[in-house]
Amino acid sequence: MRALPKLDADNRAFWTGGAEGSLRLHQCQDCKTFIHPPRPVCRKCLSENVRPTAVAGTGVVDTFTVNHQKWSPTMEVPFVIARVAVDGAPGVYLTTNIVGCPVDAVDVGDRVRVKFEQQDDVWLPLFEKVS
Amino acid sequence: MSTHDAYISGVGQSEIGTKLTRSPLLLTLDAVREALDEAGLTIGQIDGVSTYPGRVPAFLGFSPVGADELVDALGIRATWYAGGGEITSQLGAVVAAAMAVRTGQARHVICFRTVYEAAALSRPDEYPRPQRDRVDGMSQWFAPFNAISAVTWTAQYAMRHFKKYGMTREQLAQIALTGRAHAALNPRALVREPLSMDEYMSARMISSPLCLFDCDRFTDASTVIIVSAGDALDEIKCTPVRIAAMAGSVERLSWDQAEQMACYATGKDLWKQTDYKPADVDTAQVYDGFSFQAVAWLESLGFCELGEGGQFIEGGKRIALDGELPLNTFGGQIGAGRLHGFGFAHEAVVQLRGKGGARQIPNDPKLAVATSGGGPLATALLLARD
Repeated sequence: MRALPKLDADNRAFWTGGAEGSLRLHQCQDCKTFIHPPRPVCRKCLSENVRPTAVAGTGVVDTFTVNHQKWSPTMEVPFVIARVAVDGAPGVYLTTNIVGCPVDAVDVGDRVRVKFEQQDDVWLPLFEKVS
Repeated sequence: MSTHDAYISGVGQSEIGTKLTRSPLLLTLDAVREALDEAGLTIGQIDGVSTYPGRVPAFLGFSPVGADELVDALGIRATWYAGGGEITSQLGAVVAAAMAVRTGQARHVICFRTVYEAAALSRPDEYPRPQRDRVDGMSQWFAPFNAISAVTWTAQYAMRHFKKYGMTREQLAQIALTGRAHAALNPRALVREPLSMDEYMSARMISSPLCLFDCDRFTDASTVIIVSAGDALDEIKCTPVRIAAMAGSVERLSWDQAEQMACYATGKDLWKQTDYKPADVDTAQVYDGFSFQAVAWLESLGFCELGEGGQFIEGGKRIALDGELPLNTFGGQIGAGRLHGFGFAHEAVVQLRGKGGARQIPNDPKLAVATSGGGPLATALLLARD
């Protein structure tokens, strides 16, 4: 059981893009900077001309940890928490889980691809290793 | 000395415990009384209050007492006060007080941090945990992936350091081993038994590469730092400790969007405020909520180069009480308890006044650095006994 985000105007595109198989990040249409967490203004040029833009959905494990602590009685451990550098969106990192492989198979520099997991009205962007 | 500088006069601390029944306000009062007594001040001379993060109603164990309550409860007539979490980490409350006294807004400011996390955990009826159907704000980027605790965020910075620079668990262990060795000499410390390398290496992992002993522990305690104006020193009886430099920073508030923790910027900025150099520092009291944060602070402050923190602390001699840079001499948060930032400034003052007792460092220390914060927030103070 995962905690789910409360959807709002800023984050809805990110959390529901998976319905169409698409990882969407806010991007400034004027200077092309990606903005994450998503907000209605570009943090580089202050333009309000920003909108969700689909990216490839691949990336690289920048760093990670294997979590062994059960933070709730029902949590299944161990699992991998990673920070993924998103391809095509310089400077944007996503905290996520690397799934579909043993926890000791993950390393910095691994290539990964998004795999959405739907819960209610949210599509969580998890990642799996690219074989 | 200068009348335009800000000084730390009295410092005080309550008992440090877990599952205490004395109320958080009264623990705060204990720390206030001790600080007033050391300074030779009365409560009537206090005209400012500063705290982090203020009372947090949704999570009272984290911060049960706000500046509002303290002002009212102790009959303080304040001309200036502040309390809030949107600040460059815990010791930002001391920075704010220093700015207040330097601009004449107040003469003697009580700065405090009161924590009640262990008691709150043991009495959930009295201190219910926050219940939310959905997460928002920064939590939404972590909680859905079960990255719930800051240990999982800090562990990722530590893992990158291990991979990029070759730091080992044996090296990192020295933060916990040193903290626990020093805590054994601190009568107030929460954990007073030393820790062996074998115990450390065989401890259960919490979030790799951080094990149980790399984490501080929930604590009930209050710490007070009184900041006094340079033109009010004739009113205090203790040796004043000058705030020789202070720095803080925040850029990406999210823990996962920054290349480096904020301490790296703050460490550099601190030295721009002063003619002192890292080599002048007699003792370092740096944030160790998780052990790796202390390593990052040592690198950030220029005691060693980026990536060399593991080698710097290897073997532990350099950071021991009789080493070249005694570290976290009260035990740090890992040994003394999660005082949440204020313990570092408190201990720096204790050492500079020669009041460390069994843990006092030798050679008449005159300059100390105290820091707080991890991840996106950082504050550093350089404290001098002139």
